[in-house]
Amino acid sequence: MSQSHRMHIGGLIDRNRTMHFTFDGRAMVGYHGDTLASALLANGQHLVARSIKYHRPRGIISAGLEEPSALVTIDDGTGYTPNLKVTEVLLSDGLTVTSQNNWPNLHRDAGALLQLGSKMIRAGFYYKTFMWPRNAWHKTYSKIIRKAAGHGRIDPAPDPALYDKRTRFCDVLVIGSGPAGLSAARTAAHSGATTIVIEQDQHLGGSLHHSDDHIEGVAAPEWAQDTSAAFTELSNVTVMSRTLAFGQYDHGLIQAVETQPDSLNAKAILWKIRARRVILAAGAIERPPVFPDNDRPGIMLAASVRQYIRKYAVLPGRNAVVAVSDPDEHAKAFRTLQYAGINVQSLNDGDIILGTRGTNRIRSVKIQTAAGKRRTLRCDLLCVSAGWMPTAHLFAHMGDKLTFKGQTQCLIPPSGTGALYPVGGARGVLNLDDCIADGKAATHQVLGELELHKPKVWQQMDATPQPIQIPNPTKGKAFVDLQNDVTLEDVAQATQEGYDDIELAKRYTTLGMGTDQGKTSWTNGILALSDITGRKTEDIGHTTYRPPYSPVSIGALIGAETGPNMTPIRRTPFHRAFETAGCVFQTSGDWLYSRYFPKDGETMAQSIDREVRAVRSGLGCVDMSTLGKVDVKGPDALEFLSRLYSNNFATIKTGRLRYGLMLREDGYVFDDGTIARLGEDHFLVTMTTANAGSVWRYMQRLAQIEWPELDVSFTSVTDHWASLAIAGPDARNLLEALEPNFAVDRDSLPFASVREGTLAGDLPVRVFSVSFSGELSYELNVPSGYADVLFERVMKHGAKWNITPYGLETLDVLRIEKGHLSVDTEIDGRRTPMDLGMGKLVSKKKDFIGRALLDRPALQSDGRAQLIGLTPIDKKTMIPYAAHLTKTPLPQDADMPVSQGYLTASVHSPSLGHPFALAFLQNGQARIGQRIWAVSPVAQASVEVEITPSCLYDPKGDRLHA
Amino acid sequence: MLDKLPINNATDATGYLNGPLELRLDERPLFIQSIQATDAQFLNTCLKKAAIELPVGSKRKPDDGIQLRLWPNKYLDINESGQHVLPKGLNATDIGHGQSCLRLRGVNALHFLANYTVADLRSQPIRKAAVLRTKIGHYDALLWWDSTRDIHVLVDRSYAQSFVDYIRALALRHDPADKSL
Repeated sequence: MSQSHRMHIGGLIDRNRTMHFTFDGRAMVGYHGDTLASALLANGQHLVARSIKYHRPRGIISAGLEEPSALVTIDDGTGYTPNLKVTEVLLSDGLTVTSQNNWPNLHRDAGALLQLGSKMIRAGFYYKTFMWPRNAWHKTYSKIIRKAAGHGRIDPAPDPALYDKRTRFCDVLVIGSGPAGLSAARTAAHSGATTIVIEQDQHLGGSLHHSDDHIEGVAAPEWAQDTSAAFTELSNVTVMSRTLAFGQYDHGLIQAVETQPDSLNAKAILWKIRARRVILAAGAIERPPVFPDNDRPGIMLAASVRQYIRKYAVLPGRNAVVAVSDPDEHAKAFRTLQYAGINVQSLNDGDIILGTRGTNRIRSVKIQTAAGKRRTLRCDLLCVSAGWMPTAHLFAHMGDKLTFKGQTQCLIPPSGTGALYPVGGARGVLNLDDCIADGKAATHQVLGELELHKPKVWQQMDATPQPIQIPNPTKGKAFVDLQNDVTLEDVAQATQEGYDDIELAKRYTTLGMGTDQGKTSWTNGILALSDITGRKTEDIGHTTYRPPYSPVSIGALIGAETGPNMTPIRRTPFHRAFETAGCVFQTSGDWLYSRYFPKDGETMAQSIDREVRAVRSGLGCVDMSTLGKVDVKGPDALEFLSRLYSNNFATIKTGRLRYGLMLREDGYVFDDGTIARLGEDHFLVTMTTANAGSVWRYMQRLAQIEWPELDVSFTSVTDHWASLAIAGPDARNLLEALEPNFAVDRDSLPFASVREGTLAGDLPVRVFSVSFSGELSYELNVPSGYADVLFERVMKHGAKWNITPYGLETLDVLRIEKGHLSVDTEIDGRRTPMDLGMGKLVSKKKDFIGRALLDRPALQSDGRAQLIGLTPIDKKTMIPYAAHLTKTPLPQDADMPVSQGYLTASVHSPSLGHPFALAFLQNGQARIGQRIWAVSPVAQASVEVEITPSCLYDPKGDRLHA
Repeated sequence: MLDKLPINNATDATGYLNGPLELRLDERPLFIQSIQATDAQFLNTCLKKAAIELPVGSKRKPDDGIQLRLWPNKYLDINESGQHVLPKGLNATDIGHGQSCLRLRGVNALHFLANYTVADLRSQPIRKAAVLRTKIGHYDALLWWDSTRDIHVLVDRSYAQSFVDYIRALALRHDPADKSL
């Protein structure tokens, strides 16, 4: 198809760069600089979509992101994206454009038959109709409705494009580059302030590009180009075109998405811009009038028509009727249409539009003159405008409300002196000279506040009055919201049914929802509500404005944080060595932790079984580097730790360590770990992996706020030390083989000791004789940069005892067999030391955090849930995960019996030879030896179990001290 | 510390990053001690006695290495020799193996990072100090530089490889004519 509606001259398009694209399979061409909308219109394509509900034919209404109707699916060769507004898409070569919401095709859409029953499916239809039978909603109705409703389909394939998120800072951020924006930016730039200008279009200038006015003696478009060109010479000005500022947040943060040209590596960039002051010069959006059949293709906003003619050299029609309420806009539209050679007819004051005719495009307008005569005007283009709506959405994102002013017939932001200043059209100032003056004045005010300029008297321009134009209630479908097919009748029905509050009316009718978020419909909605209910427009208000102002790519919100870069990943110092050893990793918090080490063909369960047996019978090694480690120094270090932990270790000697329990102030257990005394005033404390960060912050708070009198300092050394535990009956043999420069026999290095020295004379090491597995065990800590050396030596020397690396899964089995605690399962924030069977670790001789509230009666009462073990009576059946403990098994058709407790862990214990579980049970310690049922409604399983102590494996700890 | 053994790097950062900016990212082992006092006042007193001028938010370059004070009550003493001078009255803890010292070099090194820091690297106080703690993406990082073309980045060792992967991904998203640099 040729560009039948392209003018021969004019426009900001490059006629030397032809762009080919298809629309519903038909080949079309446009020029570089076109939007998809202008290219479609240049090819004479007005019908581009079907409406969401009634499948009415729809065309292009506007020229910007306020477009409610012309939504299409676009395939740029890398994948398709639905619901894009043709007015926002810059034309590029090779685009495949598909219309949405029609079958079998756009021109003859079977869905249009819905119009026959349109009276049935008005607002509230779904709520009232699909109520019976109850089950049918999920099974049938919602599926059918979802299939029938909505626009387009999401591409399920991964998006191959690259996106990014970046930050920027400036003194003055100017959003919008129309007359007010350019004026503001120029004023800021000349003051030396670092200035950023954001413009959603590819060219700065905004409405100046379709203006026939003159500024400072030159044509408005030329003035815009000259001013923009001057910015390129100024190093303090950054111009960001093709960038949409979509949200305002606290402390001057504006978020914007920049769409990059295809030739650049990143498709879109999310900018987080921190500005000391923001000038909002986003202009105003034209409002379509409401009259019967106001949605036919060919009915367009008047200023948008001017834009297509002057900016894109496109003729939206050949025979136009102008129906514009504002005299100034009327004159501009009339002049522009004449300039383009379009036949123009105009409505006079007092003329009322009764309706329009046409199948897939407007053919005529039926009017009633002020004298009461009815006339039909033939046309293929109806230019309409009922006034302007300031684009002050970003202003309202911070919670400030806009106010409807009768004089301006629109929502206006209040005057204020916050971080964001609306200027020009964004506050209802529409006159060109006033806009320029307003932008300049507000910027002077801002510069004065920033002390970049001496303060000047701020003279704000008054908002421009607009003629009153209420919706026309004549018979027929008069659309208030084109995107959601909301008519005047829908609004009236909502109010009749009690939904007359603006928030309720929105939700009941869907007025203002969707991708345009009511940019062209809100003012009409307010006027309609006012007209129907008799309430003042000022009292109706508006719904909450939230970011994003207009839809932005989710890809840009994510940036580079996809796949492995989605979140930061922590690797232990042994990671590379473990990879070589065939380890299977799992994430645990931020950590990428060794899970198990399968041998050829093994399942995870088989690996765990082998690893557990190796540790219990010979030798294993496991990475313990993720445990939090804090170096505590100072004369008051012992006093600090004594107040922090519940157990008594005042007598701890250098070279020894203690297990410690830490409570919260409310008396519940917070964390556990070890306290090793490395010197007179030097300790190393460890905490659980999960709580490492919170314990570190807790210690800092206590030292800095609660006990500033204590001379103690901390250093986190979690990452400095690589920690490998060797465990099993042969652990000491291996330690000796590693040639420590200190004695490691049972008397010299007993359980709960620490030694510092070297291995083989060159590897600095700290050896802690502690055990999480219940076996003889040593944790070997070396500086992280030597982790590979340590692992290599451990594996080399350990081969003699068939050393087996093991992971988190085996570690869990070993600790459950021993009844050791784990954070989030047993230490779940609701347990006292007594609940956990650790009452002996609560000192009666000293004060410590949590002591006072631990004595609360509720925490000392009988009947509290206590940690116990469970074994199945048949010694075979696995106890279901997360089972509850009840007196009776799970009944067939009755409610679950009363729960007396629940499982925290359940494993098959290779060491015990049968399944074993840990659980909390009411008064559990006193019930050891009794039977109870472990029931799982999820697994539909009931297992009779015997209540046992939480530690069944080597309860006296003989192996630990071997 | 006995450092006869070679120290394994935390990352595979060595050489130029893919992408058009010709940035080079390398890791090198450095010796780092965290030198601290109970509070800022005592640290100031000790530093004054030792004739060391190192206010909060500044860096100092002794003969060997660099000292960075970005906390009230502690500073980092970083060098290649492992010889640290400890002012009297202060505690020192070796944290060198817990940090990954990365070096980003290239014409646009600082401008590149400035796109991703929550702090404004072009602001006058930061340009003057040329040292700060900030976040790069989700990563805590400590930066210092003498030239905008040669930036030192300190990140926790456990996060270092992930950080390097992230920087690599970011470098791919730029262009030679990138206006954001």
